[in-house]
Amino acid sequence: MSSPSFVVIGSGGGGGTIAWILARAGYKVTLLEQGDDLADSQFSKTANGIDPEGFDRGPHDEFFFRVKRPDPKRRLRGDYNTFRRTSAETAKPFKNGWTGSTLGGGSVIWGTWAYRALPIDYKLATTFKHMGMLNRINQQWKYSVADWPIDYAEMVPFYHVAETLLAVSGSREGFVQGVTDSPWFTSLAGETWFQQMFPKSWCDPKVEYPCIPYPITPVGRLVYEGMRAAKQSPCPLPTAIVSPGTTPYETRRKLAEAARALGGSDFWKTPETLWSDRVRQACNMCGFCGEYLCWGGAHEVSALGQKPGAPKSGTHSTVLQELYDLKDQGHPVEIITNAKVFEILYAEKRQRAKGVKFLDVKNSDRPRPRELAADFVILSGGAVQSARLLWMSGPSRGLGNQHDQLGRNATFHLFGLSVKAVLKATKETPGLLHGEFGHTGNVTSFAPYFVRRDSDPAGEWFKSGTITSTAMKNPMEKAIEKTETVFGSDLLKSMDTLNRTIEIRLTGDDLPRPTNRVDLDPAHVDEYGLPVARITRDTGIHEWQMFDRVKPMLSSIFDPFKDKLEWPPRVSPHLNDLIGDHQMGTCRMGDDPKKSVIDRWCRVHEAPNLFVVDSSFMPTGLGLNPMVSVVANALRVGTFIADTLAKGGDPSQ
Amino acid sequence: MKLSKPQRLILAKLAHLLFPVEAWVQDKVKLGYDPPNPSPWRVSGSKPTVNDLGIVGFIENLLAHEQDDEKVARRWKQVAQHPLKFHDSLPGRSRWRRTRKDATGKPLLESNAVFGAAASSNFVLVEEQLTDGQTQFSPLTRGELYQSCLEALVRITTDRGLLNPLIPDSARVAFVEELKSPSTLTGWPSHIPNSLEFLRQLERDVLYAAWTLQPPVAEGIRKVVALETGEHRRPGNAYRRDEVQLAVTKLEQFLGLSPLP
Repeated sequence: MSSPSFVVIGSGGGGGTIAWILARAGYKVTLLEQGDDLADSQFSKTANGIDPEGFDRGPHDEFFFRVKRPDPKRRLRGDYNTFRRTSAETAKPFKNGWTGSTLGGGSVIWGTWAYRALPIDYKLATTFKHMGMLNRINQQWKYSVADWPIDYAEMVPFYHVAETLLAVSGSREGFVQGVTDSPWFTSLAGETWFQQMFPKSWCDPKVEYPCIPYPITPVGRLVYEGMRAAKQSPCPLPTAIVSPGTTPYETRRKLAEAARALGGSDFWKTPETLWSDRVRQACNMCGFCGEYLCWGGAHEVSALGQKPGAPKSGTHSTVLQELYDLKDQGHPVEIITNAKVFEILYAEKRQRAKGVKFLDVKNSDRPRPRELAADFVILSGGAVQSARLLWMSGPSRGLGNQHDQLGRNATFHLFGLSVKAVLKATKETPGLLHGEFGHTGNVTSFAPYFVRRDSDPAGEWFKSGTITSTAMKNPMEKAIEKTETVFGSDLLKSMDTLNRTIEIRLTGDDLPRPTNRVDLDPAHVDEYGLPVARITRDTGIHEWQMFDRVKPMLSSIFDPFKDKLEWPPRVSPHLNDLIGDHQMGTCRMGDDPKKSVIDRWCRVHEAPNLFVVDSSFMPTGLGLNPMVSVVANALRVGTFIADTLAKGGDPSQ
Repeated sequence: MKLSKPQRLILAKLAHLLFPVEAWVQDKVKLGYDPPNPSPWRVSGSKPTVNDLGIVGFIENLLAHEQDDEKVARRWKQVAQHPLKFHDSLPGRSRWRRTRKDATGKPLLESNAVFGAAASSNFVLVEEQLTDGQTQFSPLTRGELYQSCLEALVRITTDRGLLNPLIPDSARVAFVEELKSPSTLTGWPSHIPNSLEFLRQLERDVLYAAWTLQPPVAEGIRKVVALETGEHRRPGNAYRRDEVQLAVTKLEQFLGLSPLP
């Protein structure tokens, strides 16, 4: 293939990253994003981008970004999902289940919690087999836990590069110690199978994160002490923000160091040539990252003509800026916003994707249909919207659905599990927690990654996830949620309470089930008459068993501070709540086409020139934020495509 | 939408009755909390009210800038009438819904489509029963909500003499309680959103105003709610590592913790 063309659907962690690799490798790339560039449209509200009060009005306008509905950054106007718990119910319109619909996608809204998945996440079926749990989970309780067809070792060099692109702040030593001191790790460390899964080299504590840890905040300090007292091995939360108080971040220099391990790759052989000289400024902890939009400086031009990147990571601050540079330099790159793709064109006899049809919705009231041909199509619209698009494409039963697997095994994480405590009202406590410092999370623990009770049979564990300190960023926003039931003076008092509140949030793994599925709603359509995605999702026995075991762990963190609290810690019972920020599964990666949608290189089995690189590829859902794994996987797949083409091969073969 | 004088008066009275800022500040004084200076509402003899925050002006501004929402609502109402009109006009799509099948070969999509709308803070959703027994929600903008409900409020409060300054506040307090129970409220038109829906939207709008959400940064008494809550965050502020460490030390002292090594 001399000079193939690519169309990439979605500009988030998967789509934006792979678009950068392919464009950097010299191929023609068209990136389609269904949302607008909010940084551009909001920023332009100030004259010449110069604000007399010295701040960027865009992300600091909380009314627009946090409270205004329909939410301008989450989903397109007139679009929505429907939701039901089980297939016996009729799904109803539902506001959740969206990552981001703006340039940068979910990576712009991402809370910057920058974990790597653990080796055990790649082999969860094998793990449960060793624990004697697999048959019960998959046969008796009707889950579909599977190993990933790739393993952790294959991903390690791409994790290094992903962390470098994202400028992750953290302590590697603290991270490794946080994992290895966890109760489940120390209990299982004597098992041979476990030692094979976690060889001593699994994560070298001497290979530091690219940035020093984010400062510990008052909320983080309190939770750190509680976790330490409860023997839950806390560590600083790896955070994808250029650490405050540091010199500007030089991606090019850091990238050259991180990509050494990929020396065998044609694409990465001269990493010092891959990135511009753009630097990113350190975070100033303004604290308006509650909904995580941060473009600080993305539109500014320094006296030397440099455009400094924003401190907060996400494709908008990183790879997309590089794409714009490539376009300016004459590379065949195009970024089209407000492009809502509604069909992947497919040649059934040849089993190849041919391009896409999309609506140009720049003027939402007057959408214009357009068509774009390409040699390769790369899909990265988020696990819900990617599945929706495949259902609307190809053969009548959906593209990639020849074995009725499309949309199955959807997982969303259990965000409903948290514990809250409130400091007593004293003359000292208003404002004592300083929720405004930096982003939401600060200190984390892997202690509940696997949980059990003392009375459980030996070796039997339930998969859970990570717990993280959570600052209340905006008491007013929480008060607005209460306006359904609370009035007047009680609302004022509720804001006082919320400003003294500390939350510890579990990012809990909900195991995949074939019945948890994304398909098309039979009746509901969006503003343009396209069927909306229907989410069917229920929790099962494993989630409830896990919840029972995690609850006391969460509460115990506040034990040392009992006499300082207004009331005992309260554990949220909302196990079934579906937020949908972390959406995974739906296009399962696997070697067997009868049990999966895409192969190990993320090629759709029945259309191998169509790749799916968002979080829908994940066979199991992790117990932590998936963004770094999505970026690392996009780097892996992008490297495969670029290297194959460089050798004169065809990546769809 | 422009508010009339009686409508502005009603909004100011309702906001005052719903959000007793003065009493709330007094609770803070009793607690011994001392907000950062300057705090003009703490000056002896000062009686801060929610209307010092510019509530009515803020809401008028919201209502004056919602042409986009009105346009969307109009369009969505049209789409709801003919959900597939645009889709079926696209090349090759008029029969498309009929061609989609599930794994067993059964039709995947119904011939009749419904345009839905999810809950929102700018639109009130009005429930409508369709002829086939299904329910559909139609969006009503903030302007339409205020227009219809304020008209009703002007009429009812005039009839009951509640705008007369000689009437004691207790009568108006009782009226607010009536508004919270729409099923027993008399005189409220049945074809407009009920009084509770209106109060909820008003509460949200008062909160937006009180929290000084939108740039520019509020000054003076307009910061009363944020500062008395102990909220330090303002558009444009920034912090250094040493400032964060200072706050951590203060918390450690409160909790009786030793500093981290």
